[in-house]
Amino acid sequence: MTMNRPLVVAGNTLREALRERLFYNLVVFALLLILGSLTISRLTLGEQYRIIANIGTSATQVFGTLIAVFLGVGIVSREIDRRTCYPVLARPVSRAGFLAGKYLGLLATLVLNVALMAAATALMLLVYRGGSHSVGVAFIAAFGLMTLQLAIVAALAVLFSTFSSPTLSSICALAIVGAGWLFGEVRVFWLQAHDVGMKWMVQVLDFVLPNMGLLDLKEAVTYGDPVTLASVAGRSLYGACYAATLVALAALTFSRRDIR
Amino acid sequence: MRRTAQLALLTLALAATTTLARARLEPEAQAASQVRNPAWLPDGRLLRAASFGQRLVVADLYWLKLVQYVGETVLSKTQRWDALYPLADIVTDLDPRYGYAYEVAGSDLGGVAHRYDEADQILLKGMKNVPDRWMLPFIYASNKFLFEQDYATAAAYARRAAEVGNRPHLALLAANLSALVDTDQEYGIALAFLDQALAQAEQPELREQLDLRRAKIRTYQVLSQLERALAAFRRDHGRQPIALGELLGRYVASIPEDPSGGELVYDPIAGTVQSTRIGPRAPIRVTPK
Repeated sequence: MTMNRPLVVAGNTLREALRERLFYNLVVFALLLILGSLTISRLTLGEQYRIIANIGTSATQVFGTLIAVFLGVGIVSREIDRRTCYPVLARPVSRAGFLAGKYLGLLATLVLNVALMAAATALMLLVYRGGSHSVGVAFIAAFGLMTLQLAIVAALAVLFSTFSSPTLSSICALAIVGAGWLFGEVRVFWLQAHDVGMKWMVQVLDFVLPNMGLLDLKEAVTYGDPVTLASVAGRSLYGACYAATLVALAALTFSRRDIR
Repeated sequence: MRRTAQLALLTLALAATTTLARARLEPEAQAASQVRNPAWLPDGRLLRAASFGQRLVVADLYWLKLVQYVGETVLSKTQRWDALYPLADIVTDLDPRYGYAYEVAGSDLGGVAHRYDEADQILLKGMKNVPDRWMLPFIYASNKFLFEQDYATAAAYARRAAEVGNRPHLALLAANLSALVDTDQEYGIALAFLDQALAQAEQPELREQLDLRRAKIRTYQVLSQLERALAAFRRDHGRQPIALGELLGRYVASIPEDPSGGELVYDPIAGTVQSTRIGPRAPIRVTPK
């Protein structure tokens, strides 16, 4: 029964998220973009496939990130502002269990969102190519790892929301995700630098920032690169552990917070 | 009722004004989106870092801009192609594996814009980043052959295209280009490459073509050696030799057989030599405009 309580909280969180207008606005916009990719691809010269695939994966990633941040930052702070967490916490539910439940509910929302957008992208690719050739292991792995990217984004949003306002939490979460992407691009150049301090900084940032590039297989979808199970498993382990660490930190912060 | 009519009239007037304004502003808006000054284009590497993981889709956006730029420049007949290379460079900085972008930019910069250095740069960048794309060395070879008359480089890259793409039929093109170079060394390379292609080729038609080309190149090599000997004889004696036998000793060690199976015929008046089967040595040449 005790184990089920976070799952009950998760179920409620999922239902709440599915009632959010913002969620639907973003999902509809992303779906329109994906469905419109077939028309956009006609503007190009040759290789229309890559435009459809790139719009599909990028729209899922960008809109998924926005959904994860904007739903994630409100997940704890709104409960405290509306005082709706008090009746729940008054029951035998630990604060850590409450937070884990909220996070799992958010994660379920993101999984649904990614599945919907992956289906729309697959539909567009199938319409364009007229066969199952384009939707293979790389496609499934890319969208699977994208879910883990969003899990990290959501965990960051939840972590910040345990001690900060929703606006500031959104800014901080998006800044760290952006820094994670940026660092992935400049990391190689910094490592080539002769400055010893740079290398030390790279090591610190490697530990602190999420390496979003490790969870990114968009290129494999665009170019049909082979994807090995071992590689996907390793990347998934990294993403899952990073997100879990953030959730654990969030639970720790929330447990120590004075919410009277 | 009167109020409703007034409101409807106002709505219609507003809609009409909006339509008129849009029609008037549209050319201005279209002109604003055109690439006029390439100096305004961003650095591809900076753009890549700032794309926050969306570099593929940003590359696609710049690719669409490039396609639009090529179309507009062709239609306007201005022959101002200064933004084509910077745009292609941005696209391929963002997505270094975008093989098709290298192909289109490389062939347009060479064949349409006549900016050969830029065509070389983008194609060499492509061959470095997408080494398995045979079209890139093929376009490079075509540019060198058609526009720069650099036959040795063209032949080398045609051979590279044949090897990369596992396309033995390209050895036929490479051999023709080597014949234009007209040196013993280049004939030797062409013959070795034709042998290699023959070993790979499976279709009987292709094997037959390669065999014929081999005989032609070998004959051209022999004809070329004799032509050089005849020229040296003329230089030394101020006249044409009466027969090829006069060349023996100082100019050639022996009079060779015709490798194509025919006979080598010498015309003492014109001072030319040719094969009864292949004809005179006449590699395919393109006259530059």
